[in-house]
Amino acid sequence: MRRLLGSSPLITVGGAVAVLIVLVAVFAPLLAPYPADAGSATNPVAALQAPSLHHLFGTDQVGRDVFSRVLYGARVSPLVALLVLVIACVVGIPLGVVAGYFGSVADETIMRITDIFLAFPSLLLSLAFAAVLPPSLTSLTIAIAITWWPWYTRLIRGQAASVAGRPYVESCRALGIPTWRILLRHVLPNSVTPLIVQVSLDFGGVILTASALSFLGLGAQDPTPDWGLMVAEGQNYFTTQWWLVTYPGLAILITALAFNLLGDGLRDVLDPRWRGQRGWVNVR
Amino acid sequence: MKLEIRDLEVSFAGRPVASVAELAVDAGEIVGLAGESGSGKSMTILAVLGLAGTAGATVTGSVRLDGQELIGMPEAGLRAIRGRRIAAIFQSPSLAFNPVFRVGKIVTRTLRLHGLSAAEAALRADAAMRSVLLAPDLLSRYPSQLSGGQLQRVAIALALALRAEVLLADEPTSALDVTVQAEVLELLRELRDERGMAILFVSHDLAVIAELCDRVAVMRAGQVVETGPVAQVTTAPRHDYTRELLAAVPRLEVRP
Amino acid sequence: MTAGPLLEIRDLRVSFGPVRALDGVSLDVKKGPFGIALVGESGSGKTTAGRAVLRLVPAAGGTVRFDGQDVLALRGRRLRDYRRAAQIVFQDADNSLDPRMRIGAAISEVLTAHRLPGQRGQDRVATLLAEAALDPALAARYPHQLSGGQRQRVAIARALAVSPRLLVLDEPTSALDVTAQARILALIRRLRAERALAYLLITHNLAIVPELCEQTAVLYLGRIVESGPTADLLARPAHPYTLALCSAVPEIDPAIRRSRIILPGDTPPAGSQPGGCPFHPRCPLAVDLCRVTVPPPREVAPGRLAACHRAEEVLGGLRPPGAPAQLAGGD
Repeated sequence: MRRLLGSSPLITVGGAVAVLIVLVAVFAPLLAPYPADAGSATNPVAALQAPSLHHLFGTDQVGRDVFSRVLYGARVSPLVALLVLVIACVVGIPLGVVAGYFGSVADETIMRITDIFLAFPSLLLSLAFAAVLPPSLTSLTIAIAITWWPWYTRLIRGQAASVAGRPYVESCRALGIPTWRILLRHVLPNSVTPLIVQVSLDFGGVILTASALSFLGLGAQDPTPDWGLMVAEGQNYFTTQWWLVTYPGLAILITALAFNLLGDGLRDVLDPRWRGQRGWVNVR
Repeated sequence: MKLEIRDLEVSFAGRPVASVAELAVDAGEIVGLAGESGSGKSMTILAVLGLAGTAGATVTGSVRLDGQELIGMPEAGLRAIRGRRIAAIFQSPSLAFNPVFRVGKIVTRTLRLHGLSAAEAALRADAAMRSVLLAPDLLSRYPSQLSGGQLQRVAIALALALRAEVLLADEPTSALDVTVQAEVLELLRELRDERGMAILFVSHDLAVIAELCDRVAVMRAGQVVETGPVAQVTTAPRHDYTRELLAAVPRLEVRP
Repeated sequence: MTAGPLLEIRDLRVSFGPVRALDGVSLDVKKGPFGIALVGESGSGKTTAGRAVLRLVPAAGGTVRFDGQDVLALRGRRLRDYRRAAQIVFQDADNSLDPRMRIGAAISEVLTAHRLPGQRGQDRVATLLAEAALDPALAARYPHQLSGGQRQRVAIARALAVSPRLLVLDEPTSALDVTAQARILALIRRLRAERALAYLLITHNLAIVPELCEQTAVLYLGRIVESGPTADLLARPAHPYTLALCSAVPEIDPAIRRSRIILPGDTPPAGSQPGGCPFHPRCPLAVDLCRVTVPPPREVAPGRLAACHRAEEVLGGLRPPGAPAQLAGGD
């Protein structure tokens, strides 16, 4: 693992920041100077104060400490992203593996359904679902997950189809190994590598999408300290009380970037390097 | 001697992968380089072509073509020699032909790159195809439309068209069916006899080497362990490894 | 157990779309110890034959009987049982093992899948590896850490895990160096004796056939052109293609070296059967009849089948113009 993290500067930086964000999320109650502000506490007297020693990021329009809210926000967006990706994987991977391995009817059916979902621009589709459901974090998660799984199905299907044709899979069939075991122990592990990279890259993408939907009012609702929502609430004050928008916005940027770098670094590590490390120089 | 290799050493990060103290190929003879995978025979070929550097290796020693030193020659000089004076064919002929180009296009373009006019190139390509017993109109096909044997013969035709003096052949028949292999080997013999080509033939198949080559050098783990006339090496080997190789070759006639 | 051959193939046909890869192949594999070689070049259909026998590709026609049972109709549990009795070792040693699985796990997976009783998993794996002349400590390694020859032996160990009675060896040594090849061939000979194995050896390399197989069948464009006892077939071929094939095998000893019969053109791709005899476009002995009628396989000598209109002549010494009478050296 150490070798993995140290192998590329991208992955080191990305990984470090990502770990930092997770730590912030976990220890938010300890780190935040005004933890109640992340909940329903308001303090109208102290509204719209500029950043100071008391309030590092200033206060918002109802007097809540922005710093505390930003810290607590680290619990919201990444959690949503995690849930979305888990759902997308749980739905998308098995469908992709089945489509790729069995081909013909199963493949056609699954891929046509996938195509239908992919035909819509994902943000719009998420928007549509989110608009129909009562606005909440749960709806947000579902709305994004629905548009996310088809990409993984398509990705895995290509890999699975390629793996299904390999001699070692044919070997397994010849040896009488049951299909479910072939899929689980052979096709799946050999198909997921590109997905690992994609998922870490998507982490940032989901956070951005979630923030966008929250910004539009379709996700988290006040008083949840969601970064996107904070940006939305602060947009009218942008020119004067810039801290309302800037700090949550920066948080979104840094988080998305960190996971993006992590994913990029993972791709560098997982693909040719590993094969090059253990293998031979094939100059024959 | 047409091609003279002396004290050639190819290494990767200080680790030698091929060392050839002395190997020479004269015009009108076929010299075999026998060995298993990892013996360094393919790296030797790349080093002669000046291509070992692209694989990341360092090359020291001397490779002379008609007395002209090739090691250390600037790339421009090497490019003029590659193909034109030293041609090479490899195990997988389909890798030598870019699949998006018609085979004829690759042949005539190479000829033109070496200075021939369009008309001359077309003529030579035509004649060369006939020499390798292929219909010239096969040149209008894409590599995927030709069989392995046909592609290998087109590669030889290209060497012929360029009037190359030396041919480096790295396992050219290993991937071919045995009846097609017989044709290609016959072709190589003709190149030696009728065109006076100097051919360095690399293979792991001792039987093929025994049939085709005049002299042979046996390589193992990057070192040449034995050299000599092929009849002598195959009937009275001096090195244990050569003996081991010969014993391992399966024979069609079952000895009692 | 029924009397008769272990594996009986009659008129097997396999097609991939319009391509007739196998066009009516019949042969017998006797009960072990026994070896029969299926010899052919690319496009002959030999690999397809091996796969069809093991139900890895669908057959378009014909029958395959294993111990009297119809193999092509098997399903479910019966098919699984068949997969235990008949096994295959593939050509591509580099890719026939899952690169993400350790060797030991790959072998014990087979044992688990068939719920084989007996010794504990680890012991059995070690025994199998040792039987394939491999150090049992290799069980902890990954395939890429082994040499080509070692990987091939692991493939053999895996196939043996189920104690099959029939083994299909699909070009077991083509991807290997000559010394590794010699070791594999020796291993197969030993296993044949120790386990009374019956095997179908699929190969394009005639030279490895005499030491492993007592019977040989030569395949061309999906049909068997000649079959019979190996020594006899190689010494006195009854088909022009066999003549050419034998003459093309390179020989180290100049005293036994054969004079080449060069066949014009290239080996035709699978499924490109012309009208009449499949071999006639390249045959140096073809006559008008060959272009029109497909020669049926017939017995031209005791135990010798040949599908050629001029088989008796070839058997009697007819050679293409320019080739000497004696092609193979006498033994």
